[in-house]
Amino acid sequence: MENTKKKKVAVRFFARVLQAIVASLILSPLAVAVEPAKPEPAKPEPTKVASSKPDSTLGVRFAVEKEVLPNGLTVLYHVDRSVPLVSYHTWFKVGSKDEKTGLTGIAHLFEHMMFKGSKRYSGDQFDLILQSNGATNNAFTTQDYTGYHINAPSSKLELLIDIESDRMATLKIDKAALDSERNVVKEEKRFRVDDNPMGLLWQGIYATSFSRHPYKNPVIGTMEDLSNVTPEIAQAFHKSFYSPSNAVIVVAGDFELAEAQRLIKKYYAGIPRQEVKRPTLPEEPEQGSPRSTFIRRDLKSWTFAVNYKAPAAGTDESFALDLLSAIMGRGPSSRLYKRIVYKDQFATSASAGNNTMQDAGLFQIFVTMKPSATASEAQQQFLAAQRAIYGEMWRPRNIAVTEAELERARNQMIMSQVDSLKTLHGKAEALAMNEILFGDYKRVFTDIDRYLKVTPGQILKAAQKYLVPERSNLVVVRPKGA
Amino acid sequence: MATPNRFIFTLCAVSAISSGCASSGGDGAPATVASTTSSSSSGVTTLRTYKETTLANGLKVLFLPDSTLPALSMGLLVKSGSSSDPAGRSGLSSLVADLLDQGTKRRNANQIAEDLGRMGASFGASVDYDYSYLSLSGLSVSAPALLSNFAEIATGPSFPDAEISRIRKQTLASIERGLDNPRNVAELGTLTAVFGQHPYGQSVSGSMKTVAALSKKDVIQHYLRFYRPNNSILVVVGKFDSEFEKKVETTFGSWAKRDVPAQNLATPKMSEGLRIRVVEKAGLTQAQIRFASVGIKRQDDDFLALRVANTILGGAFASRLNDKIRKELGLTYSISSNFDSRMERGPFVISTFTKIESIDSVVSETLKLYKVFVEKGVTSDELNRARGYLKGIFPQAIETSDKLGFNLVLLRLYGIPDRYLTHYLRELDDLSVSDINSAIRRHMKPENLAIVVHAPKEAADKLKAMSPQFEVVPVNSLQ
Repeated sequence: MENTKKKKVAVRFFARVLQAIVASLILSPLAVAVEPAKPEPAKPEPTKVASSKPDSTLGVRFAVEKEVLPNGLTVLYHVDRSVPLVSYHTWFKVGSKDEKTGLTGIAHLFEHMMFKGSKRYSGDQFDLILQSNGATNNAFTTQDYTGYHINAPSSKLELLIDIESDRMATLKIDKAALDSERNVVKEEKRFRVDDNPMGLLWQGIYATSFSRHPYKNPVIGTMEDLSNVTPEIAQAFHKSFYSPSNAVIVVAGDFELAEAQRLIKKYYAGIPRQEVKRPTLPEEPEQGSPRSTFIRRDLKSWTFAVNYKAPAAGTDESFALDLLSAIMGRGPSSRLYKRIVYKDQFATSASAGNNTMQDAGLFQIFVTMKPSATASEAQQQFLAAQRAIYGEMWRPRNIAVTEAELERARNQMIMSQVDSLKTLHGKAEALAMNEILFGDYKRVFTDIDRYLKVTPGQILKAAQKYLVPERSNLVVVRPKGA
Repeated sequence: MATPNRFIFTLCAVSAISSGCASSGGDGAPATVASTTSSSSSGVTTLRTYKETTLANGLKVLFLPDSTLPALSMGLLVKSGSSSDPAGRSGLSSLVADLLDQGTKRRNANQIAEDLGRMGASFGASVDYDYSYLSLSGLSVSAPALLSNFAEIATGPSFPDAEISRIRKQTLASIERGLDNPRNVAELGTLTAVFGQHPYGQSVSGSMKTVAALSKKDVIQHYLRFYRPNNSILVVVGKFDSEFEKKVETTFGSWAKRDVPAQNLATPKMSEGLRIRVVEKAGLTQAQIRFASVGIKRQDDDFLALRVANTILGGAFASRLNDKIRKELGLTYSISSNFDSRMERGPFVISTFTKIESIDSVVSETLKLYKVFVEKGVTSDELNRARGYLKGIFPQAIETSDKLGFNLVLLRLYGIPDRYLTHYLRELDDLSVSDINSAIRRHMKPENLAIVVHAPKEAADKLKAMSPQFEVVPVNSLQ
């Protein structure tokens, strides 16, 4: 079955194991990003969004209270008392793009260190205490941000606030713990990337598509750079980026608003604001010609991705390209699926997605080829599939998509959003992401409207501007030989 | 790849490694167990209201209304899965499930995809050893169309020749591609190492040889035999009214019943001793490792005690295995253990991976730890912590109506009363250290294990000294 679910962020590395990535090889690897939003000038915020519904019955609204403490910490509260649970998110505006040369992977390795002890909760107490209180927790790192989350019975809210504020304020980096965790991360890298065709593909995609911007670097880092991280460097990283003013907390679930606000103040108000030393990032130059990378391993079959440089998260054009990506490659009614998988039968899957990050985007097409009897046949099949893709990509630049296709894509987008908001965790995540990327959680409520406004003409224009051969990056993971 | 890992059924079904899915998999109700809403001080939980009815044709229907979001989903569980595939025909159940939306009497594959796509709806069909599960989810504004589509796909597939041939080729390609995924290879290698010729030893998708041999006749026969209302449970979740309920009953009420042959699944037997199987492949930098044996039936009285035991051993992040192998030794990113309890005795597996240089350390440390765990048992501190954890995650597990619905359906499949959910907290409280430890001694046998290692041959050779039962098989032998 073609998996039509999209995920929000392309590559995340976790402190814990996340199954999704692995299970994906056969089923549908192609989780690609989409999390649009817009560049509207920030308006003065009413602190509360009423839970009234918009005109459309499809709209999603829920009440949110926003508060900014004097030390710069942003806190969002969403009260929902239907289940005795609370989802507690702490996200920081730091990701692999903020890493210095020679220290790739530190943002993610550091994320692991956040579980290794602070002043009041030392060593491995963090996990033990949370777990025995019925909490589950995890964390992830992307190019742009790092997120920590705990889901727990709502009676444990104070514990969560206590434990999270402690590691924000007083994390300790111990040499032995760092050495051990470095080895764990190296195992994670072998698992997710080195021995994993999809991991190799993703790494190749960023390395090929970006020449100067640090998006070119792997989030997980290189083995060499991971070895470069010392306790002092890690501690300095904490000081640089883990200031309350660089964080967003979301508390969603079953609690009394005033009580939660009191507790947040009690535990966080005393944490001093640090100066956040964000590096100036080199601008990615305009790409003037197509690029390609071939990665050879001992494999049965070919997997490839075509990646067009596209606009960053939040732009109107990114909404248009999101919809086009659904039309091109989301589910069995999409153009690429029908052509490459159904009709030509070259591939076991073909899909597209518009991966929007803070500074740039990639419009991506993924194809997993069927194994072939001989190497030369495999080569021929790959070339034929590639021609078919480029042929399909010619169309949206020259012929507007139909209203029916657009309607399908819009409905898929709405469905994804509704799905992602089914749980408290999903709601908290959506709020955190919008607040982190745009300083405006309310974008989660306007996404649907923005999709509804996109016209075939806008899609045509965006395709003509971005989906051109000069902006394309082909990455192929293929069997050795021939 | 966002998503909270721990409570996603679909993922758990595919993956055995996750600590979060510990003891879920096929057993359904349990791991991810739970119910929602209020629990009184007596430890008895009140489940969210649902309606259950059995139609004249024998179809059991569950309605879980939930109007918090404009969504509707339907699931149909057919109580036959890949263990009903005849000998030499493994993969048949999967092929049938994959073909359901590839053509009906009224529409072809593209029309169906088009019609579902237009509504933003998605259809899924998955097969496990004990059951097949079809689902369709969409926006509630499209409720009538979702219903008619779902019924048509589930009860009126036409199995066109061209689609059979296309999906069969696709499946063959996927099986072959699967060998490029080390984790998948380790899991395939473990199946036969534990279950041999038993249906639980066959891959759900089948092998290249068996799938290539599947015919249209096989497909139609299988469908007509097992896809019957009296062999199925339907669950409807989301925003709908009583009018819609009636419509569901009328629509599915016309599905024809027929006697379904009883399945006589043998009880898998545990083989003696430590057996090591190396599935070799050159070039890997890391070895995938499994320690596996025959576990328990879902109906086993020790089910809950073993769930607690497994939480302590390796079913959660803070657990003996993870504390030792990951946190203390830094030898892996993940190690976890899991009972996949089924209609018959399913597998118990410890899963991990490590760089090829550390294979022998991981194998010997894990074995040592597992032996001590079984000999000495758990402590009362550990029991208290595990209890706190399991009780705490209980509401999360069926936080949404979708999760509750799926749990209820699986309970019915395995013949477990809802009491399992309503009295879950109390039963956890009632378990003592000696209950847990005697369950451990009854079901966990460190001396009888299959150890499967997917790695380059030279790297795994070091294990040779550990057991006379040592074999090396090429990765291609698993396709």
